[in-house]
Amino acid sequence: MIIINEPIWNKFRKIRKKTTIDILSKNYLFQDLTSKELKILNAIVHERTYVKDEVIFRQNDTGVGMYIISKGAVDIIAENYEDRKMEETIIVTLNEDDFFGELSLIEENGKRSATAKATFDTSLIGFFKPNLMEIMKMNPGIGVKITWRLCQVLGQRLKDTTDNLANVKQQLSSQEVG
Amino acid sequence: MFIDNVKKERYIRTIAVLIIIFICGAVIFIVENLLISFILAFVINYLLSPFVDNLERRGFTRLYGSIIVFSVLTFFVGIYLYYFIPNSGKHLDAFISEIPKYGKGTIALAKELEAFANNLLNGAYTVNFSESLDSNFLEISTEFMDNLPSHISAAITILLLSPFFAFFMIAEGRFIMQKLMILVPNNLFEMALTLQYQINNQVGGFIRARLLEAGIVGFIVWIGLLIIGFPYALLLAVIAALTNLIPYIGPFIAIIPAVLIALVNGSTSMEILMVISVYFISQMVDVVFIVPFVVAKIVDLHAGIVVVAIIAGAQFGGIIGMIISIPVVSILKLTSKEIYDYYLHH
Repeated sequence: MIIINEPIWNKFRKIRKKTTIDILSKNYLFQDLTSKELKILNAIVHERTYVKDEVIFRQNDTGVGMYIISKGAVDIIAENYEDRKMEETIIVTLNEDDFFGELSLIEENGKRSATAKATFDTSLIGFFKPNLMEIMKMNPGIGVKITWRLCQVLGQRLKDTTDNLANVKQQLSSQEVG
Repeated sequence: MFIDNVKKERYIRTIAVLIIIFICGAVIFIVENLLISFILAFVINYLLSPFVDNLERRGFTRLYGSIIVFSVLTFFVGIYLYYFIPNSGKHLDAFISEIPKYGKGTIALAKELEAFANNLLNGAYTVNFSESLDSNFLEISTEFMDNLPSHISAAITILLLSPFFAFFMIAEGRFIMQKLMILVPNNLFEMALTLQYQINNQVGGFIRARLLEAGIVGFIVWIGLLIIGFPYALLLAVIAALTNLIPYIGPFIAIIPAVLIALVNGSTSMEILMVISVYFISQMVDVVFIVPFVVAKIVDLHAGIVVVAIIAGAQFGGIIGMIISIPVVSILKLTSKEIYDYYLHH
């Protein structure tokens, strides 16, 4: 006897594969873009694949742009050299739809603050400074929408850093009093 | 095991990219007329891209934008050919029919100069170059006439191929580059992307700046020669504009035909001085206003390197080599700087 767990028509329904445009539309930086603008963006981004443990970029490399994880996961690692030995500390593991490296989109010759390494076999969508420049020249409207969102991300980061600093200061002063 | 596989893939990808570049380069250099067609196509590409970008900004796709720009251009070129070519043709015909006169006149001038030099040297050394000039002139003109059909067919091939290549460069260039970038290994990808962007910007800026410079110089020469009532003003202006593309040496080449025409026509010293002044003013405007504010900002190369590059360019590719030597050297400079920076950090 065959037990049917799901409607039979589901077998015939075309399962829609997640496209690059779907991933871009979900990303915080590109949420203001219309579907037409997303198509323009889709034409200039780069899709890259990495095998497990392959380095995407290293700490102190010159940053060129950001990556969105379309499949897999990425470890963000801080590298410390002590007694000529390198120590690696995983700061965070990012998953599908997360993005990283966006600071380098606006920094001039900015260095990567950490190393990024593929946790598993991973696919990424790269959006780089030359792409942002091109889109700003070609279609300033899209450029403004992306940079506006980028400013919001950076503003949030600055606020978080200020809050963290205030917390640390408070902890230090309470320790001193104690 | 993992590192081995990644390294193996990187090597394969790097070799694939190098093979593609090598094959494309070899085909361009080996197949006749392809190199010049490609250079012209690049020039058209960099000149027309801003217009296609503008249409893209207004919502047209790149393909439709390219079709519109090329259609408009074809329309205007058609009008130009229909209305202006008969006039320009008459101008050119008149000049060609007078070439033997100017050839003979130049040889006569050479003989006068020779006699003057021999008189001055008083038998210590005999100067004799007019005979070789006479035979060379005959040889060059015979060779030119013999090869005229092949020159015309080559020119037609180039004029048909270059817009064809340019159209695909503008419409599909970005897509092709994106597909080529897939082949670049992950560890070199960011460097390759930055390099491609910088080269594209610098070469584009350089070509636009040089053409603007050539156009302005040609225009000043044309107006200047018209004012002093010198013959073949338009033809000489076109020669001045084209030779101005050759840095440093070009302006000197440009002035030779004008001075020869003046000498053969028996112009007075004052008239010759006025012709030289027109060329001098055009170069002053170029050196004082255009070069420092437009060209020098785009290509940051030392004057010594520029001269060496032009000599090397002339050695390898004649006049075309001289014209393309500067962008080629600036591309090599950018590439070596990027590779140096990359290995400094790895």
